[in-house]
Amino acid sequence: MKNRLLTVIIGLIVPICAITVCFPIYNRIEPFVFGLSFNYAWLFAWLFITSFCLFICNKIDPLNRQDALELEAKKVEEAKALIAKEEGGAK
Amino acid sequence: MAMAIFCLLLALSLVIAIMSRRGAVSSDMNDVMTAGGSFGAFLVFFISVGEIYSIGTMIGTPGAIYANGATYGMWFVGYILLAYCIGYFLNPAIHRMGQISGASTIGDVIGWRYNSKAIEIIVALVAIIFLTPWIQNQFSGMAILFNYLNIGIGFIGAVVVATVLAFIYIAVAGIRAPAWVSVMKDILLVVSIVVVGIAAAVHFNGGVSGIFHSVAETSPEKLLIPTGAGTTNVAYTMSTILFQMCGFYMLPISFQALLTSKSGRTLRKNATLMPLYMIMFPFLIIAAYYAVAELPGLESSDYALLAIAVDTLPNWMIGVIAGGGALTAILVMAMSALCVGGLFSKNILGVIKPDMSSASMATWVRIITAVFLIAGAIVALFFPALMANVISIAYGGLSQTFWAVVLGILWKKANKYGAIAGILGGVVSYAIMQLGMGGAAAMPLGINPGFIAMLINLILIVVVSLATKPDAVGARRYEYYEMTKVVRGMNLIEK
Repeated sequence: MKNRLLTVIIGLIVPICAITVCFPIYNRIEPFVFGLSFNYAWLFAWLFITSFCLFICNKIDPLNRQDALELEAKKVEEAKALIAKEEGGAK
Repeated sequence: MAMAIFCLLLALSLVIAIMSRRGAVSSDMNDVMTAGGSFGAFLVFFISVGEIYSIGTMIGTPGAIYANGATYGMWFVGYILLAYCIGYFLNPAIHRMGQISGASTIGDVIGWRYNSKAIEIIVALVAIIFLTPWIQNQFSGMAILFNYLNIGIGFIGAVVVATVLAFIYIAVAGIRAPAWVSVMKDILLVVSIVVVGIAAAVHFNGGVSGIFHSVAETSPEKLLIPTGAGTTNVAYTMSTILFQMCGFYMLPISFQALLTSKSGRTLRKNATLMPLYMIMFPFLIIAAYYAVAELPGLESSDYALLAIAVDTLPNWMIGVIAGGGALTAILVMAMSALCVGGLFSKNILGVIKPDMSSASMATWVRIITAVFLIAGAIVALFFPALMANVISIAYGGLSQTFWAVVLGILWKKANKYGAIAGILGGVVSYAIMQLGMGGAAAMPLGINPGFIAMLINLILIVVVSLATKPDAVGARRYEYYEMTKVVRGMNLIEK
């Protein structure tokens, strides 16, 4: 369960919390960071941090492993064939 | 000079659109709508991000901040950012379902999974109805652009040119043209916004820091989201973020974009870059606060960004901004019209007349695209008022397919009755709350009615699905989709 769950945590839970749950923390003007009021500084920082989180997700996501990708392609073909057989030709 | 550059840019976009034809099969419906799923990461990226940089963003965001303060700036950036996170997980799944079902539109995917012609038509109608304000917004945005910039082209001329170009893009190469022109448009937009942002910072005493300190002193209420009661407070902001982040990829134009991808892997890779692409927002927001600090008393808050440009930039740059803004509007118009064309042809006409050939459907797509664009242009010419909160209203309706899609992917028991109940319940309750009851102001705590509608939607889809008989084909189709999963828990399913 570890890697896919970790992917969901890093890629989804963490950014959502940073923007919503953490709101009381960042809804303020002071201290100014790089000249920006704190709330905007936080928001803009999280543009980068979220990108980084998704970058990590791409690295650790088991779905991105080469064998997983190949398996997925194979299974999609199998599913399509099965559909064609059982439903007599897809739409 | 500005006019010359503007015309040059539009002409260039037309050349690109025509060149994008290579490889297109114009009589194949699937190719027109999704380029047969052949786009690699580069094009999928540009066609996807194109949606968030609409003219509403460029003009509307600084305008809203200028008028109302930080609330708009925060939720606008917040929901888009989180939408990318949701997309990372959701889009590859949708894409897979699209692949096994041979889908070209959102109507196809939902209609297939739930095995229901009724739901196909409903999804198509909801999308068409709520995309209409979206297109209107583009024309209105262009009106503002040309009114203020005064480069020598009147509104009527602009509307005509925009409509014609939007149609040519689609007629010539389906979705490929907007994809390629997007690349050009995004370059122009990035340059425009960055330049305006830098100009604002440079022109103000003390730069960025100076701007924010000044606003903090003179109008701090524009920098914070109010925590008390009121129409733009915390509850509103957070609920808006939460529901719109779900709705983002349910917008027919975003959904369409994700179907063009070669693979789920491409979509995941793109998700990483998209938040970075939002780097334009800091520049937009800095420019917005420059206007708050330095240009109080503008005739209309929508002029905020353009006022800065006219004040600080050379004339040729104004041409670039006008070109970028116009192209943005045209592209969104083109994509929206294409989606409407596709949904109407495939999921409404195609359902009424199931024996329609793919070539004939592809032709209908173009006809409907043209009709929609022309209708939009006519309305824009005679009723050019900017509709307030258009984006939110569009989202209120279009997000309602979220649960049907997500539960369709995750839950075998989700059936057509539940999905239809959810979508209709969500849309109707949203309409009642937003238009009948007066919107967020009338809601408890000031919560966005779209959020409440989403909750009602979820309850309906779950309850009705559990209460009604399962549909054998729908359940079987869930199983087909499940067959394509490769990871259960942590482990690769060995096969």
